[in-house]
Amino acid sequence: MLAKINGYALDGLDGYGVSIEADISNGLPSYELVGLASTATKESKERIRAAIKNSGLLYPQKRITINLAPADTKKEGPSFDLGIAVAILCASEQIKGDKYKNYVLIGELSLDGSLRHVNGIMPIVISAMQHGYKNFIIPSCDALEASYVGGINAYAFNTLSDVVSFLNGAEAVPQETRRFSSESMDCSKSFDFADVKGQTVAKRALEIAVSGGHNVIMIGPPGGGKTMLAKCIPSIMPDMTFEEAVEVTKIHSIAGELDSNVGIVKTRPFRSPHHTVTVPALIGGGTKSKPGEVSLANLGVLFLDEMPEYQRNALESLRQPLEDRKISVSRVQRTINYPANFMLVASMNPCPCGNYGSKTNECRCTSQQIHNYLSRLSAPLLDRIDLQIEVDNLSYDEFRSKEKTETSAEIKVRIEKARAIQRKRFENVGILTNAEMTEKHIKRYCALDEPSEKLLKMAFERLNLSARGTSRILKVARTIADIEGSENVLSKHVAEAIQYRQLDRRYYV
Amino acid sequence: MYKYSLSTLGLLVLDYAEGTKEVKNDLLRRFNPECIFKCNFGDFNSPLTNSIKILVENVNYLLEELDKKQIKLLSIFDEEYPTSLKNIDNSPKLLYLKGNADLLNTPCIAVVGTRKPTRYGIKVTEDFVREFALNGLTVVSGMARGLDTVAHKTCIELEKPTIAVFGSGVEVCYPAENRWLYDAILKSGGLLVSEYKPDVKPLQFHFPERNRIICGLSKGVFIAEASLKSGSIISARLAVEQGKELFVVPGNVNSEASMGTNALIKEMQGAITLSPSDVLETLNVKIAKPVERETVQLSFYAQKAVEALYEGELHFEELLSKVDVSASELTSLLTELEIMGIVVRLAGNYYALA
Repeated sequence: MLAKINGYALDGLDGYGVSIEADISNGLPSYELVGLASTATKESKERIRAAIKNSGLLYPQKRITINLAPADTKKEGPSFDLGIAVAILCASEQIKGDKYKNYVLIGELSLDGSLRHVNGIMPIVISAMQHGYKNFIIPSCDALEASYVGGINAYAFNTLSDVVSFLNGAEAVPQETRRFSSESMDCSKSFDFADVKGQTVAKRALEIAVSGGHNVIMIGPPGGGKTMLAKCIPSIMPDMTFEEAVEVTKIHSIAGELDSNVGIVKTRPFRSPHHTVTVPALIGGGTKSKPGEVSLANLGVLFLDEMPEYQRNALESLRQPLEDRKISVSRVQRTINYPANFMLVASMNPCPCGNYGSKTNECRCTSQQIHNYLSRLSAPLLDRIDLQIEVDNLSYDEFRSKEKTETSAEIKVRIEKARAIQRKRFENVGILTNAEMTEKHIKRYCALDEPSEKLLKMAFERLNLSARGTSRILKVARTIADIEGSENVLSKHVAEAIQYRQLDRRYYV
Repeated sequence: MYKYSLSTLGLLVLDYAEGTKEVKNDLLRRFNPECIFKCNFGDFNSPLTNSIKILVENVNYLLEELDKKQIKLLSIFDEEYPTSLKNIDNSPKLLYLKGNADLLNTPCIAVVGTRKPTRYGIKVTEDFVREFALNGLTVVSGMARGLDTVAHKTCIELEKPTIAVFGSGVEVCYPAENRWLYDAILKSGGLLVSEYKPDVKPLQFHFPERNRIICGLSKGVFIAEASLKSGSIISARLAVEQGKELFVVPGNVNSEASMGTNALIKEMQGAITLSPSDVLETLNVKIAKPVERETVQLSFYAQKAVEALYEGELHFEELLSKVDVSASELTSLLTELEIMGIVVRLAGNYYALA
């Protein structure tokens, strides 16, 4: 007998239908799996046999041939277990009728016949829905994840025998579609800007950075509070919309980083890979072309602490995602595009000893040492960082401890406002934030009046600014204007933006 | 026939000939440079004289090579050779020059100092050099890292020519990261000087030798910052030996970079220098009228910020508490003051009056 079951496989974020075919014929008992199955998929043989047996069903002692079509694409992972088991049961007529033809089956089997978690349920369901599939059978532990996708019927089951009785005619209710509610970062877990004393410049710069989605680098001596400031950023990130949450969840789901108790990523990701991170781990790769940190940080923050300590090639590999806001991971077998629309937050010391420019500690690094240290960050990379600010370890308690500092919640209100203005402005442009503006957009949205134009020109002449920074200054000035609710970019906005180009202006003797 | 005197050419071939310094000096004691170029060695014969004979035959090639590199020669026998340099012990016999050679006979002042300056040293050097350059003194230094670089750079920014004396050949840029400075000095009408052949590498013992030229060219030596064991202290001693004026700026007693200068002042109290006019008066330089600065009307808050900065450099936070505006307003205010040239931004979010 022959049976055909619908399965689904992912290729990056997108997928394609896999037809799981089982043929049972007379002959010596054997099991043959064809269709370019990877090791994890091939090993399903033992899981399926045990699962069928332990579910009280009969494993046919005949010649079994399984085909995963199309036969020329590599099938990864254990998500075909359920489909193959059901195909065998249909072919051996233990499942009757053709109800199974309406469903896409996804799930890994345990030896006792229970269904186990599979990575990438949300992208699978969404992609399959776009290809016209509507009904899904999935493991119940992944039910939450699928329940956020509207317009489909997802049936969640605990065991193989439940699935069999359902396909044999038992009734079941599909998962209800859940409403998404965005959640602010749990403030008890993250730091609050109210806890940071002083650092007015840095706080202001981070507010601007988050408002406009600008990349930012903090330069300062060790112990200056750079890491602390960075850890506060999640507390002021704007809430995610449902579409954004889905986009983030899809990637986290593929990477297996999703909390199945929640089923969707509700807060913006904050990724801080260690400085020993390899290139594939950072931008994605491996034989399976898995998403890397840049994609996991999509729509959130990628924090690189002590940036010059990272491997040179890892840093340089960030250039394309920073520019295109997506990354294409190419391997021999396939090329996959992942989104990588993240905000880069980096920190570094001003010199190897860290004391350059400090008032209290003397720096006696040679200019050559400083030069070598700074040159680990290439100019094209720094060019993609809009805000460059200095953070220092002045003891603030002396003169500002009495003053009340703003809480993250207060700052966040202003940021949400600025973001709303940007969303409205870029409604038909296809971008979300000021940082994403191209030269064409800058010309259109950052037109300067005469005094600002003059100011900018004078700044270049007198303040050692590099000409490459112009568009960065304009973008940041646009964001500052948005925070203020000003329609046009005024000279004071440009003047403030200029102060955030510190690396351009620094020179060492 | 040649554009240089026979004596100069004699020194040139001697410099290029194969032999140790001792052998060459010995030859110079026996024969004058003109004889050397004419190869009138009588019955004296040595490997050195043979080498010289070969070079004399090919002297045109040597001169062409120097011309190609735009290097000029100046020997102690030339009229243009600066008297101040002639008067020191062991004055260099032959100098290789690149750039504007006329500078050698202008009044010069040597500016030397530590290779690892502090912010204070940089500021003092900049301020003093600016006054020197604007009052017609030519600044001589060694293009080393640190204060030497600051001195040259300040001159270049004012578009005033400056002299750099090398411890290597004039074609060798040392330290290599100062390539831009090397080019900028030449472009701004400055001069590069060396007593070594153009392609000689910077060797350790060259630098004390180089220092004697720096001092020798100048009327006085100015030191803003120097640690206890530094070349600048050697320069100071040289200056005293050569009978030049010494100008030393006192520094923080705790700062390592000022230990040398403070020790010098303790030893030679007359050397203490507190303002550029001290130097200019001692050297009898007529002080040019200071350029009148445009007066600008500042806004209320800008005025407040400037007044606060009269006390000395302030951190952004300190300014913020004194000026009483929001952080973003203060930031843009400071940019404007910077552009007007009233305020400078220092490292670490510090601001000071320019």
